[in-house]
Amino acid sequence: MNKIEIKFNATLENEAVIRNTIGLFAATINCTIEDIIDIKTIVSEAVSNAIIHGYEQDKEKEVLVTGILNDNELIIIVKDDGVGIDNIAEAIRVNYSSKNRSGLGFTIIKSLSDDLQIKSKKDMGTKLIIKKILTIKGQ
Amino acid sequence: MDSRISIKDNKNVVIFKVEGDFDNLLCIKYKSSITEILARKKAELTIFDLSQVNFIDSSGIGLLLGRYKQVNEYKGKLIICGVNKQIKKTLAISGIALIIDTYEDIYENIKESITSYE
Repeated sequence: MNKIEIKFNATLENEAVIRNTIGLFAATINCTIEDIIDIKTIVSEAVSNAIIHGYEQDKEKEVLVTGILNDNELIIIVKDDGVGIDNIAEAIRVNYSSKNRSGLGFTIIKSLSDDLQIKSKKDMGTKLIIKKILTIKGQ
Repeated sequence: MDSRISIKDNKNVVIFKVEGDFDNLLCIKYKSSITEILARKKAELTIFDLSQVNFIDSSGIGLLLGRYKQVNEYKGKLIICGVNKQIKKTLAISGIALIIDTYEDIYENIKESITSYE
């Protein structure tokens, strides 16, 4: 088992840093480039959800991202203590957006991962637990 | 590589060449100027050249969808070209590939089939 934890301020300037870091973390087990790009996309969607929806881009607030590698299984946990999601079923509906955005974030995460769990309550923050099975190069 | 969008326009064609990461930061930086250029030019053909894009997420897709609707309002056409395997995958998941014509080739190679716009 290998674990990485990153706490960062809720600003979009950090989005690329975090997705690239988790991508590099996954690369330590020699997974395919396709998997790394999927992971970067998943992390980007989850992190921008925390920054834009959770904290409404309040730079003083902090997001916590954890990556856990267990053989070829990667767990990504993205946690904020922001506004939370009132209605999870509505939030994961394709094209739903409370902020005039594309509303495709959860659709993309679900499509590129092997499991997505959303734990959230209004005003109690949001925790996304995402599982991705990685393909090791040459196997 | 710094992410950026450069603009090339001919008489009836506007080409936006996107380079680097097509993400939130890039969209925030360029969205209003792209919208303004399209509103002013009302070109028959708008092309987003993604051949130098390493990464796209839902914000990039949102920008493309928004411009597609804008171009449609004045009866123009919008296409996406230079789409690699990974970008194609994200476009397919989002459903955007069903409504916007996408090409793997760069613009120079598909130019012949759409020259009627120039």
